[in-house]
Amino acid sequence: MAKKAIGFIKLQVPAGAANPAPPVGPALGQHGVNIMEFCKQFNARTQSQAGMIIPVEITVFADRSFTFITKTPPAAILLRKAAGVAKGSSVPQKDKVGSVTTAQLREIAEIKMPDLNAVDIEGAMKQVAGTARSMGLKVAD
Amino acid sequence: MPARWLVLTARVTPSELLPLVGEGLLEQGGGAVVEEGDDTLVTYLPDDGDPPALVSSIRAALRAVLPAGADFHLGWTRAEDRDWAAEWKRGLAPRRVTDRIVVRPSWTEWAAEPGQVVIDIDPQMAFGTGEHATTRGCLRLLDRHLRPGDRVVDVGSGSGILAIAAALLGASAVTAVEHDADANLNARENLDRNGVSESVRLLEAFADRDLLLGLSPVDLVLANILSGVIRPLLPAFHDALATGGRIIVSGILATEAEAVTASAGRAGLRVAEEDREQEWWSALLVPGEARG
Repeated sequence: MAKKAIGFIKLQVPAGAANPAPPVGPALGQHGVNIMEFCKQFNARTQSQAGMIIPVEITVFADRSFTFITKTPPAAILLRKAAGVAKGSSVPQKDKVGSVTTAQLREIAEIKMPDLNAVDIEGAMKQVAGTARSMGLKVAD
Repeated sequence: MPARWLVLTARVTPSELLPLVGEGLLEQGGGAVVEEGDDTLVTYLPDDGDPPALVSSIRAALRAVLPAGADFHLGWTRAEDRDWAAEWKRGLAPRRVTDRIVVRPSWTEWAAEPGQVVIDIDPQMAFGTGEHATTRGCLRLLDRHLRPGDRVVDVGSGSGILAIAAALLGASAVTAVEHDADANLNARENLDRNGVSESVRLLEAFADRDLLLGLSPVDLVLANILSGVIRPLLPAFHDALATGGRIIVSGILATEAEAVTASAGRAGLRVAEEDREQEWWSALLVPGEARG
């Protein structure tokens, strides 16, 4: 029989660096989850991605056990790194301070593919390009 | 840990920009961010006593990250620091890890049988309670391979549970090395609680080659950390060993066992015994060539 889920928690945590201080402590503690166990597992699974921010989704069951899945790094952050700008443009559409190439869009789309509801890489690239536009980044080759 | 926290709540649309806000909050010192709903992020920062000034500088920093058209709000409240694990702790009971070793949360009862070693642990915010498979894997290997009189070094000692176990099982001297000050507060309480403050020395430091060689000769090294931390330290562990010395490693996922075994081989160590529980792998390493 499937276990009954009683909580669903979404976090963004630096790879390999989860610790029980807030906000991880209160977010998990309120569901009675073993906070240290989550931190240890998350850090072991993500230590090779040091420097990235990892979205993680935790499901808590009625017996206080839990499972979690890690997602690919957010498109906006991959785009910002690809564009080589420390900060997003403060004036989108008009003052395009950063740009990414089609090859970079493809590379990011490939990383993001497991988490996107795109049927093919072109569809994934379109979604990533949409995020780039909302950040004020230009696509230029 | 600070006594009080500042709870920051950030909201932004379009939601594609949420990761940039999350990244910004982490850059401002948040340890992680919690996503609430589709457009809201929450993080905690230590309360420096002047939240309005701090929040307004963070607000300005985050606005600079976002495009002008973004709809962005940042609010704050305060929260007292408390024991976030209290809810989880309520359900804990003593655990018999091996025939000989029992881990007992300090507020529970256990009637010890003759020859049984009972470790009293108050599980706080430090790694190392009987509730984790890696701790249990280490304790099982420790029970079989600690020899009375051993000089032991526990690298990344967390709550102190392994160092305490080593002392109670008959080690002559134990050095526990841990860089996390909060963990060490918990460890000191646990050492006192188990009456081993005299035989376990707690060093607040990062374990590196120099430190390990300074502690040489060592009969038994304990390291329950992460494969990425343990692998580079294996040559130093090897060189710090006394004749007949042994190493117990844990905190390693079963999927990483092969890579750690290869690193051990390059450091002149072989896997003499393995312990698996759930997805975790613990091992006893000894000097020598791997057996084909």
